[in-house]
Amino acid sequence: MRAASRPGTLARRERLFAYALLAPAVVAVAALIAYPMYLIFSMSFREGKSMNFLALGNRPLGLGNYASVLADDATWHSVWVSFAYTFGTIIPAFALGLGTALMLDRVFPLRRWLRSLVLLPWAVPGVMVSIVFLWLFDASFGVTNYFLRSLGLISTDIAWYTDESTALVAVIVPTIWKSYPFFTLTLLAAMQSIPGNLYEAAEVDGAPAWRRFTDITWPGIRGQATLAMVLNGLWTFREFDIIYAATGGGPSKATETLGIRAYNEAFGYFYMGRAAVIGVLMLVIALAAVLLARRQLRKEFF
Amino acid sequence: MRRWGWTVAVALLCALLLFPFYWMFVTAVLPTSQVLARSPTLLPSIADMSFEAFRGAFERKPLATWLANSLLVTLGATALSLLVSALAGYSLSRFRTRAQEITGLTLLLTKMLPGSLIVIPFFIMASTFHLIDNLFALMLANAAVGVPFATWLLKGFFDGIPRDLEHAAMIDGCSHLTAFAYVIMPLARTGLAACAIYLAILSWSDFVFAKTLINDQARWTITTGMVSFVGEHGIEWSALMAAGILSMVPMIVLFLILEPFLVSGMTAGSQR
Amino acid sequence: MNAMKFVVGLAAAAALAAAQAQPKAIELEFPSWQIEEPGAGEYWTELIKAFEASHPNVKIRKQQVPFREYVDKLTVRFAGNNPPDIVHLPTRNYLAFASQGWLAPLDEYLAQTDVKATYTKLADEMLYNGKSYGVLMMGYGMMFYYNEKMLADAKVAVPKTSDELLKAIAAATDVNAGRFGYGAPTNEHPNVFVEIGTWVTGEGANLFKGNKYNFTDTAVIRAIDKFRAAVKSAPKGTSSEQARQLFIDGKIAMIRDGPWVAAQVKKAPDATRASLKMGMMPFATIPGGTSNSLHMPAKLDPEKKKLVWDFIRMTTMPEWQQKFTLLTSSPAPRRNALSQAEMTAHPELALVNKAANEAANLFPESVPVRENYNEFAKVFVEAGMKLMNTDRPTADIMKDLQAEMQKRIPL
Repeated sequence: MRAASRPGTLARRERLFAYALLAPAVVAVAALIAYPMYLIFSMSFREGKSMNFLALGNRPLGLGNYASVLADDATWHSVWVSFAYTFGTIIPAFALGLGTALMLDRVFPLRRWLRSLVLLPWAVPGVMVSIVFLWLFDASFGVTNYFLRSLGLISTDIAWYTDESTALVAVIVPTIWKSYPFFTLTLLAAMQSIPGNLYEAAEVDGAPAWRRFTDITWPGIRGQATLAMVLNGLWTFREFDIIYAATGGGPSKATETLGIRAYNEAFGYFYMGRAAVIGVLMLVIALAAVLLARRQLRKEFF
Repeated sequence: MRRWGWTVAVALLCALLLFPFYWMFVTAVLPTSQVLARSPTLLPSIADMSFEAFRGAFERKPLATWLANSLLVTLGATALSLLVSALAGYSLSRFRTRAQEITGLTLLLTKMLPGSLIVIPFFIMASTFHLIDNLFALMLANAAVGVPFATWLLKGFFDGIPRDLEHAAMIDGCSHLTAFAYVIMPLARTGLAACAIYLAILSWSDFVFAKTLINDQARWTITTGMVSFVGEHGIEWSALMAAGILSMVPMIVLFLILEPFLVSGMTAGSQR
Repeated sequence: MNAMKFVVGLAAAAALAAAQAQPKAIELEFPSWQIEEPGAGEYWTELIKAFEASHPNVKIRKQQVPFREYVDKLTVRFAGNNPPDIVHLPTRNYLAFASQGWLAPLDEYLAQTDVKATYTKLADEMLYNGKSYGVLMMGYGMMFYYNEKMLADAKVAVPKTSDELLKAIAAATDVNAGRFGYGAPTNEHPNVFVEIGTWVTGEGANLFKGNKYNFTDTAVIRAIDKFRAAVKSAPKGTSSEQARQLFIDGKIAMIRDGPWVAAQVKKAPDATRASLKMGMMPFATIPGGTSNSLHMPAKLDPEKKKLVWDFIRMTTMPEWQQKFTLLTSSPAPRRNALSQAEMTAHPELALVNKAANEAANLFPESVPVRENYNEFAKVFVEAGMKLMNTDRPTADIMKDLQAEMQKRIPL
C-alpha cells in the first residue's frame, strides 16, 4: 500500500520517484544555468585583459574590475540608456496592449483570427523585427521618412539609426512592436476572468463606458497588469537581439544598454572581467526591481 | 450589425499593427527601382509583382541550410525541454518537497539573467570541451534556457488536473510512471501545446547563443544568417525581405495554428 | 504529438552527432573577407583550384566573413583555441595576434624561398621581435575614383588638391536627386580609421609624433576638419562596401579607396562603366600601407603544417604574383611581377604601382598600438562617429579621444 501524499509525510519510494522526475531538470539548471552564473561571478574578480579565455583562471584575483567599471562614465551612461530603453518601451507597449486587449475583450465575428493576428509580432524573432525596421526606417529610401516627408513634417531625411539623437527611439519602436502582444495576452486573460455580471450591473445602473473601465476593469486586472509590467520590464532590460542587429550599441554608444555593453566588452575588447562586472550590475538592478514588486510576484512564483 | 462594426474596427487596427509585414511583402515582390525610390510604390500592381527575389535569396545565400539548421535545433531543443519540464513540473505538482520553493526562486532568477552575459561562460565551457560549431551543443543550450519557464507553466497545468485520476489508474494496477504517461499527459495537451509554442519560438529566435557558439557558416541558424545578410556589400533589400519572410513563415504558421492553446494556457495559468 | 516530437528530436540529434564525424580527405579551413570581393575573389578561386589539383587528397574550404566583424570573429576563434588552418589577416591587425603567441614564425620556411630577396620593403612589416610571422599579400597606395560624367554635369574639373576636392564634392551633391559628391564608410566600420587616417596623412600631418599620440596637433585638426566637410556630403550609415557599390551605381561622384576597386569598376554595368575613372589622390602626400597577409596558426596539426605552407608559398610564386596583380589591379609585393609589355597593356596598373611606391604609411607604427590595434581602431572609430554625426568642435573631440586612448593603450 502506498502512503498518502500529505505534506511532509512521503513514503521513501514516493520521495525517490519525486526526485527522479526532477533530476533531469535539476541537472540542466545546475550545469547550464547555475554553473555559468558561478563562472560569471568568479570572472568578475579576475583582473587584467586577456584574449586567452581559457586561461582566465590563472589571472590574479582582485576588485580591480569593479573599481574600473563602476568608476567608468560609460558604465553609468549604459545604465541610463538601459532605463530609458526599458521604460521607453514598456509604457507605450503597455498602453498598446491595454488598448488592443480592451478591443478584443468582446464578442464579435472573426474574433479568434483577429486576435491571432494582433498577437503575431510576438512570434517573429527579435533579429528579424530589427531588420524589418532597419528597412522601414532607412534614411534615404525608408517608407517612414517617405510618410514624414509627404506629410510635410520633415524636410531632410532623418537618419534614424545613425544619428545619435534618434537611434534610441529607432530601436525602441521595434521593441514596442514585438512586446505589446505580451501585454495584450496577459491583460486579455485577466479581463476575461472578470465576472460578466459586474458589467451587466453597471449597464443597468447607466454607468458610462469609462466608468466601467475605472471601476470594474482596472481593479480586476491591476494585479496582473503590475505583474506583466515587471516581467516585461525585466525582459526588455535584458533584451539584446533587437539592438544588436540594428546598431550594435552605436552610434557612439547611443543605444549601448548594459547587456550590449557586456557583450562588447567581452567579444569586442576582450575584457572578460569587466564584462562580468557589468553582468553583476545588471543582476543587482534586476534584483532591486524584483524586490520592489515582491508582493505581486509572490502570488505568481511562490 | 453593431458587432460587424467592431470587427471592422479591429481589422483596421490589425492592418495598422501589421503594416511591417505588408511592407516586407511589397519590398520582396516589386522590382528594386520601385522599392529603392524616394517615392516608393505603396500599392503594388499585380503586373509588377514577381517572386524573383525569393528565388534569388536561396541562390545568394545557403538559406535552405540555415532554415534546416534552425529547424533541427528548434525541434530538438523543444522536445528535450518539454520532456524534462513535464517530468519536473509533474513532480513539483504532486509532491510537496523542498524543491518547490527553490523552483520559484530559480525561475525568477532566470528572468533576471541577461542572455548576452550567460553566453560568455557558455562560450568558455563549449571551447574547453571542443563543442564549438556543434549544433547539438546549441540544442542543449536552448533546451536548458527553456526548462525553468516550461516547468513552471506545466506545473500550473498539472495542478489543474485532479490527483484522483492517476490514483484511480494506480489502484487499477498501473505504476505511477505509466499513470503519468498514459493518463495525465494526454489531459495536459493544452498546457503542452502552449509550452511547445513558447519553447519553439524561443529556440527559433535565439541569436546570441547561435552567434557565439557557431562559427561555421554551414552550421549557422536562420537568425545568424539573416544578420550576416545585413551590412554586406550593398544591401539588396528585396532579397533581404524575401529571405526574412521565408525565415518567419514557419513560426508564424505554428503560431497561428497553436495560438488558441496559448491563450487558454495563459488564461488557465493565471487562474490559480 | 509530444511523443512524436520527442522521437523526431532524438533522431535529429543522432543525425547531427553522426554528421560531426571526421571527413576522410584533409580539409583546410580558409575564412576571409575577400572570398566574394570582385577581383580578389576570382584570384582565390583560381589559386584554390590549382592547389587542390596539385594536392589530390586536400580540400580547401573557403568561407566569406564580412570585413566589419572579421577581426573580432577571428580573435574569438583564436581565443577559444579553435583557429582556422589558413589565417588571412588585414596586416594592420597581425601584430596583435602574433603578440599573443597565436601565429607561427615562418623564418625556416621562408629561408627556402626567394621572398626575402624579391619582395618590396613593405614586406618588412612581417617582422616582429626579429621573426617573420607572415607573408605579405599586398601593399598599396590610396587611389582616387571619380565619375567623369557626374563631375562634368556639376561643371567641375577633376580636383587636383584637397581644397578643389571639397569644392567639387559640394557642387556634385544633390541629396533630393539621390546624388552624393563623396562616399566613405559612415557607419561603425573599422575603415573609418582608414578614411580619417587618409586625410590626416594626405595633408602631411601625423597622428603620432615620436612615440606619442599627436591627436590635438593643429595640422591634424585642420586635416580632420576637411574630412568632416567632405563627409557631410556622403550618404549616411554606409559601409565601405556599400559606398563602393553606390559609386559603381553612379550615385556617388568620388571616393577614395584601395586599388582593388578598379576590379569592381571593370564589372560595372555598361551605363556607368564608361564614366568611372581612377586617378591619383588629390593630396600633397599619397597615403597607403600594407593591406593583407597570410599567416599560419601556431596551433596546427603537423600533417596540415606542410600543406598550409604549400598554400602560402604558392602565392609567392612569380606566376601567381602576376595573376594576382592582373586580377585585382593591385600591386603585387614581388618586385617587377609584371613585364614591361604587360604594364603597357594595363595602364591602370602603372598608376597603381606609382601610388604604391610613393605611399606614406597611414597606419600607426608604434608597437604597443599595433599590439592592440583592434582596440585602438574601435575607440578611434567611436570618435569618428562623433566627428561625422555631431557638430562638436574637432579639437574637443580629439582631446577627449587622446585622453581615452592614453588610458587604454598608454604610450
